[in-house]
Amino acid sequence: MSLSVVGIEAYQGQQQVLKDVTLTVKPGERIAVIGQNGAGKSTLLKCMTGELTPKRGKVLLNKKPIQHWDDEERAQLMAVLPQKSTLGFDFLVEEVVAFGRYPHNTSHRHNQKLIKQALEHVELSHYRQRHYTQLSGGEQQRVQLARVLVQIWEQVELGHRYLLLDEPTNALDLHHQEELFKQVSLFARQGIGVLFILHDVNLAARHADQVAIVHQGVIANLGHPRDVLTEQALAECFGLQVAQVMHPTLQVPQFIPL
Amino acid sequence: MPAGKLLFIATLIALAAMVLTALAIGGAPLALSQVIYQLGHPFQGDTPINNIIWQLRVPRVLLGIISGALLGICGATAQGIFRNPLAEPGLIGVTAGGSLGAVIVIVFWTNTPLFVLPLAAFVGGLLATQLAVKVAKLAGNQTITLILAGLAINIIAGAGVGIAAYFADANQLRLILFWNLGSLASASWYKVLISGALLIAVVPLIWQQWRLLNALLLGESEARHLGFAVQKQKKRLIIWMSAGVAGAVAFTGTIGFIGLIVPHIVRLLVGPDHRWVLPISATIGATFLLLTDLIARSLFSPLELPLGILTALIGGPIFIWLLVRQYRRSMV
Repeated sequence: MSLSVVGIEAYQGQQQVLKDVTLTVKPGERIAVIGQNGAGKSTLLKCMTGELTPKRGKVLLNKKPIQHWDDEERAQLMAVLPQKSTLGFDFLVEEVVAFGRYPHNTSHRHNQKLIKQALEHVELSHYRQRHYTQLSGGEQQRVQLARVLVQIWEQVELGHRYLLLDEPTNALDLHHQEELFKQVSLFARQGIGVLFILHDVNLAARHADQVAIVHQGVIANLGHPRDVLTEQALAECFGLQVAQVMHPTLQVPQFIPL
Repeated sequence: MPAGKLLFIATLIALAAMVLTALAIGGAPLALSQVIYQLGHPFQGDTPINNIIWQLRVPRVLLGIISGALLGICGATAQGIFRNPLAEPGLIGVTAGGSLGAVIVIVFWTNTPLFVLPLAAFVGGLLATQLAVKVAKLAGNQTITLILAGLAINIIAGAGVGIAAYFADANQLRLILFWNLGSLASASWYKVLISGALLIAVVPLIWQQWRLLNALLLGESEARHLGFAVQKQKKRLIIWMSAGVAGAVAFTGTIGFIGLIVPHIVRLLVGPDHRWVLPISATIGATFLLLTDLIARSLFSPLELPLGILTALIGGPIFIWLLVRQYRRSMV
């Protein structure tokens, strides 16, 4: 079982954004998608979630075409963290996290337990009764993370679960960036397939099992960060000269723009 | 017990108290004991008091409850659909669309059967809502665009009403004027029956969707990721909301701002969770409408101030205040 796009082609208006893209998110694996602005990363994510139907090709969630899934069942298997959530209404933090339990028919008491745990995971336990709109951008993003985590917190009968994150580190400070990947990795170890879109190549090198470089609508490179992330590959993808250094403890490449 | 449930029960009690007050006060003031006695002895029309209660005041109060409840819950629904706390059926043109529908049948269908009025209001309101949804979506749901789109729809509908008024005779003109001002004065049992049926149909349908309305506040694609068939369910909500507004205004005319003020008060009291915002907006909406009606008919008694004028007098300044506050907040 997996979440995969097979030979998809997608358009934004008349413009072809994706040409013949194939990518598989396997249970327990963390895939980072990197690429220039406008390379088609977000379009790829939209196709994966079924929000956008590709002109050609297939999108399969646990072997079944994504469009054939019932909306609620699909949501039990797949949680998506958007780049930025605008929520102008003054919910409490725990109420926002509770949205993540909407696809499940579990009891209120059970949901409350999971919400509490999820908030502990994002280090916001003490913020349960705070007003969401009064939090900083980074804190709001962590509440949203708790919301998507709680959505796929437990195993369900329908099969493996997936977590898709669109530039999740944008508003986060250094500590919480690392913390986010720690949580996501914990989830991956439980057999959840994770895909994140990242701008920071160094984060991708440190935290992904596989890196996919999207360039001009195709996957230019796919594989272990050590194999895929090279000075040459990054120069081709971003048109930028970089120097490679080795991470002192993790033995993965890190890059410094020249 | 959750705070929302407690408040809901409290507002039901307040509504009951308001109903008794509204039944007691009027051209012929009655003691509370008289009111309660008469309520226990329905339709024994051999005394004037029984007639006043059962033929005049009860239908009026019931129509007030129905209209107020529908306006409250539909206001909260509109604000959820548009993701904007200032989206009010009157401001975005739904009510005006409904008025136009009703005015057209009043003028061009002599002796209109009463039940046609809410139907025509529904069609007009639904068209106006669809238009507002499309325009607001194009412009990314910004308050200013939403309000301007509503303004344009109101102008178009107003012109339509003007055209109809041009062809109307004196009697129809009075009806149109009544429509624009809004009043419970023409309440009757038959009207209560029709709009009451709409209330009973629409309120549970909308309330069932409280989770969707919450999720929509995050955005349409987020709601989709949370397992909602957003496009389909949103379309249904729009239809029910338009039907609700039609039921509210078909026999009372346009009563503005209740859909704006009431959900706002409710959110201040219990927060924005639609699970409680929707039912409590209905109960407070009903109470608020009865209260303003009471003021409207006792202020210059025996003359009766049209209700819509009073709600506009209260609602207009509150709307400006909310607008200023929203802009101040977005500046920060």
